[in-house]
Amino acid sequence: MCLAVPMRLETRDELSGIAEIDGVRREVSLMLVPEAQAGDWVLVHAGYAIGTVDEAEAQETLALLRQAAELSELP
Amino acid sequence: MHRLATSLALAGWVRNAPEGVIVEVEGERAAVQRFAQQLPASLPPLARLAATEVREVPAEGATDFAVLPSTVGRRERALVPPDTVLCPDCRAEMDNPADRRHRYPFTTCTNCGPRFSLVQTLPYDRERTSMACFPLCPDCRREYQDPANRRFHAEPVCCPACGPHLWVADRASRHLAGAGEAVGAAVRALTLGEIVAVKGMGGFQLACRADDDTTVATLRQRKHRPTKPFAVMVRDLATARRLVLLAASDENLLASPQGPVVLAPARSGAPLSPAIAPGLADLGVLLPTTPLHVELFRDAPYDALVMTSGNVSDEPICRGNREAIARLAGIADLFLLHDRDVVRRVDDSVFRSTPEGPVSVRRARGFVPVPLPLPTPTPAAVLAMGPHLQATACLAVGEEAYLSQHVGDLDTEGARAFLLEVVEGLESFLEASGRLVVVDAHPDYASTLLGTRLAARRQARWVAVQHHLAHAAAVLAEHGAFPTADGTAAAIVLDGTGWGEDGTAWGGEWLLLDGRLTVRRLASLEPFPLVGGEAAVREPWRVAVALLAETDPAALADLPMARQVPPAILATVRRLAGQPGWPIASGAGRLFEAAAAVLGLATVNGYEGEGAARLEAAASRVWPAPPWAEVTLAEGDGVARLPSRALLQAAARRAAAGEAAEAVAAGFFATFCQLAAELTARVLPPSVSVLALGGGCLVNRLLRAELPRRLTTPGRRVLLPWEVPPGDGGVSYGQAVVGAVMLARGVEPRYVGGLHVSCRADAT
Amino acid sequence: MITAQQLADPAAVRGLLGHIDAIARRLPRRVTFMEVCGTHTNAIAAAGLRRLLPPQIRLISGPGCPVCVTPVGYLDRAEALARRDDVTICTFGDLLRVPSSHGSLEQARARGADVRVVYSPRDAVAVARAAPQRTVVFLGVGFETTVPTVAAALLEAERDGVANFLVLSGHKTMPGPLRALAGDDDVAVDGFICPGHVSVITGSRAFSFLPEEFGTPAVVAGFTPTDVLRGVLALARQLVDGRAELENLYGRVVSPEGNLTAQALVARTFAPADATWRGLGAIPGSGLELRQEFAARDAARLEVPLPEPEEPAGCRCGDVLKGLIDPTDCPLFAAACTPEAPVGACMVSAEGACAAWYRHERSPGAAQ
Repeated sequence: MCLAVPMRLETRDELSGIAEIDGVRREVSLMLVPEAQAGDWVLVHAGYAIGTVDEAEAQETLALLRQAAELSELP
Repeated sequence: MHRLATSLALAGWVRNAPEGVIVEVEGERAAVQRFAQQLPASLPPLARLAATEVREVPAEGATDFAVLPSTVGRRERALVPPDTVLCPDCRAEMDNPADRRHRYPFTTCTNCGPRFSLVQTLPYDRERTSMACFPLCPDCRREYQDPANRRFHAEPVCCPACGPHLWVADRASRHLAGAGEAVGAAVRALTLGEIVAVKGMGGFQLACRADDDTTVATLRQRKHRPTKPFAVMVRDLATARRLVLLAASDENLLASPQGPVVLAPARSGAPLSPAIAPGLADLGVLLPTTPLHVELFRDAPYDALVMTSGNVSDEPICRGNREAIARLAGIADLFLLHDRDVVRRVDDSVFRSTPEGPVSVRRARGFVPVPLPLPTPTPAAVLAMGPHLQATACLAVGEEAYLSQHVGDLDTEGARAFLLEVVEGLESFLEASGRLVVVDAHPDYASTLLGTRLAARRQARWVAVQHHLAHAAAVLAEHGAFPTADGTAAAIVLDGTGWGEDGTAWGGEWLLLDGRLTVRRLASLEPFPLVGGEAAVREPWRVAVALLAETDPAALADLPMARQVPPAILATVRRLAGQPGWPIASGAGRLFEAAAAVLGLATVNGYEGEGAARLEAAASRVWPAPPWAEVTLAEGDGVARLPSRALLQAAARRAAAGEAAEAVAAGFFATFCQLAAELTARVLPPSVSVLALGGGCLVNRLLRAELPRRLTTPGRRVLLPWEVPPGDGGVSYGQAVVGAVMLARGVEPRYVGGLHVSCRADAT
Repeated sequence: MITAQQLADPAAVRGLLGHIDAIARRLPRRVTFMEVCGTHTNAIAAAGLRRLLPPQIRLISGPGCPVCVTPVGYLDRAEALARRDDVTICTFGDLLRVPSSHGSLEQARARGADVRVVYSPRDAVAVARAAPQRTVVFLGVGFETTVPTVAAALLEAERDGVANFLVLSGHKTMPGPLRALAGDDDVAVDGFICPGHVSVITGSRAFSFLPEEFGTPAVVAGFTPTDVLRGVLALARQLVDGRAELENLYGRVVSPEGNLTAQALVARTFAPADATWRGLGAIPGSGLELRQEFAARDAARLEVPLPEPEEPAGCRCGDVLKGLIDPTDCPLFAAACTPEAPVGACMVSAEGACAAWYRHERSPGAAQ
């Protein structure tokens, strides 16, 4: 459960935003990363963004999530 | 045009004709040239410039610019505009207490309102629409004739003095309130949680509050619609944003003149009854379509109304007042009626939001009769009758294919009559009669029977086109990528079911086709028996049991579905699965539904594709997920197979081991995509540079993201369906495309490889 | 079976292993490195990294799985609350099947208790908002990555006046057990691989006490096999050089100070408290409880009958969590204790060492 998923932040309003990954769109709270901008990649854990990452790091983690068998079981 | 011409000090005239709009301008050469240049940009929002032909003619010495009466006659290429939603200018007038159309529920102008649904015949003029019986009052006539006015030649223009009348009635047809009080009575009823039948633009709708569980449950029960989701009309875009997660492209679509329903992920904690879309992560929203809908929200305490088609279960929507009261008396508590006839039934269009943009799910209001491209002009008109479910018809004339509005499932007499109505409408508008009639290869579809009979009556040729070939053709043609005479393309078509050329029910097909319509079946899903025939389609747990028949029977009792289907019955069906004689299927949709059954998400389909939709909803909560290493493609084999059994068995094992349903659902889709990619690599010749993905399963967001990601290579592009519904609503378009190619290139579909049947056709 | 080659750049992995082999020959003795993050446990097990390392370097898993270290007493309290008619339990999915003295929450649900799986503490607040007449208890289990999300949800509930949203805090923080392990002579850890996403919140500086107070090398590493191997190499180099430092190898994601916004929200809502770690015993200041001003939201203050907590017979989760034994050394492993029928928490949680070993490290040709 310590793994956070990188997602791309599409839009945001004051406290939350809409982030997207591999065809799925989800609401994320930005209370912990209020400075995140639309277009940023954020690390999402339990419905909250916990930090920002650059796109290269995001893609690397995503590749791991998509391809590795049983690497982790996400909540 | 009048405005543009006079602003450039040009004289001349303009006239509506069957072949299009003809305009002549004369004056200073520079001004004439500027007219031609500025014309496209100056057209109103609804005008669609398909082609222009410019000719120089001798000046006539005209001194002013006139709008001449339309000419009637044989059309070559004219269109009636589609119905569109209320425009902001009209809305502003309705909101303004000083305007004579303040709160007027039939406000319209050149840029908005009903068109297609009102038209009886072409050319498009008031006397040939259902507004013909409402003569213009002097004020409206002035607006109609004033070239500077926004209502200049707006055929449906009217006002409280001269326009249609509104009233409310009860289910016994008793007039309860009229004119100024009708809307108030409807709003009061809706506020109290009653169900109101509303005569909308393309037919009747049923409305009720979306936030009250009891009201929604009552609507479900009366409509015999236990689980199929309802669309929700919201007061405004701000409300929509509160209920669902919308991207910019979704908001543009919601607010567009087409104003469709947009299915988007529901926000958690949205104040709506959970009975609106049970078990699903999406909610369908739309903005108020007509002035009447705007008024239903104006002074109301609710922000969201269920707005569903006015019918009992899946019959065509009601069109007339008497028809509505007769058919909907058991559902609606109150009827909001008016006397502007709906000439053509049109359902609301539906799109599904995806991160890459919206995909069409149902093509109807706002998109009919806008044509679609053909890969090659057709020498003679082709009439495509469509499939059985979600039916539409399509008429290909010249260079374009005109897809009809959604007709629906052809199980009822009413729906079949609607199909013929729609065919008649297409042929009379386009003044063409299909010389080649295309039907689905399924011998028992109502559309097949109607089509072959029609062909016989008019002594036209008919041809049966395989269902999945039609899906593939639709996606290719949408992108202008249908193979040229020497070209090839491939397609992966995933849907619930379609008659296969070997007599089995296909639905997970890898096809290779060329420009001469030779079709080779490269691979498919591993087939499985449908124990109980049709019952297995309604009850996908049967499909699951058949796929799990090799596993230990005791293990079936450990699965979540054993809580909904008694283990003894599971065991019986498992035993029966081993017996020969059951229909054989290989549909991806069936497989997805079986997985949903195994996980206890949906052991029966309350509506078509319910299991697959619920499976996707569950998976999307934890997506992305890694594929399961334990499921691999088998070695060898003539027609390569995607291992349905092994895939479902892996899902069942994990479910029995206590893995959460969402995780299994996500892993299931990830594994399916991985296997599909490996299968494609195995069977697809590397030289094929175009791969189309089609079939009803392609509304699934996870497949739309994952399959192209895995299948796109530098040498191969992957095409997804967007504008044309991936489901059976797009089949008639694909049929028309195949028909056009047949006639233009003098070829016939030929099925080789794994599929083996003659193409049944009756050449007259 | 996924091999390291399939997950990462094979050339990089081979190169790193080469360097590690070279360094390992210069180590004075056999060394033990410990990782303390469930995701690291899984990544290592899935890639079969353990077997790729030279014999001088032993890689063990510490208490990196919050579910595994949750004591039975917490689960008993949660289960007792679930049995109350007026209570709705909201929990992350991985707690659902952990056995308490009276069975798991899943079993309680089957008997009629209102237990719901949520993916975010916000969802639990939404449940509370929609049902004001019920007492909604969110089971707060998780380390520093999760705590800020619960803090944020709680403050949101405060702001919106959702009075019926309560938290049963089982939260724990990492420095506590790391101190205990670093100072424990039985365990003898020579280097730590610190958790990646916990460090996003805490900052890498949170772990500098390991070299500074205990002289033990520590690294913060990412999750790919190459990242983990780079961490192992860095730790081995430090030992050979006689250094003890904190190296942040995950700088693209982790900063020295961490997420200050998140830390501030946590400080507003939680205060350090003593906590019991399953298998490790009580560790002072290693837990988090709700601050006094949020007493009304502390589900620990609700009265419920509690049984005497007892560990299941034969279960050696404690020793596994301390890295004293491998899962395969536990007599119940793969026999009485399997993922389908778990006895201890290390097998229930997907991140538990025993679950990870069961999936990846039992088959003979487990790593090529």
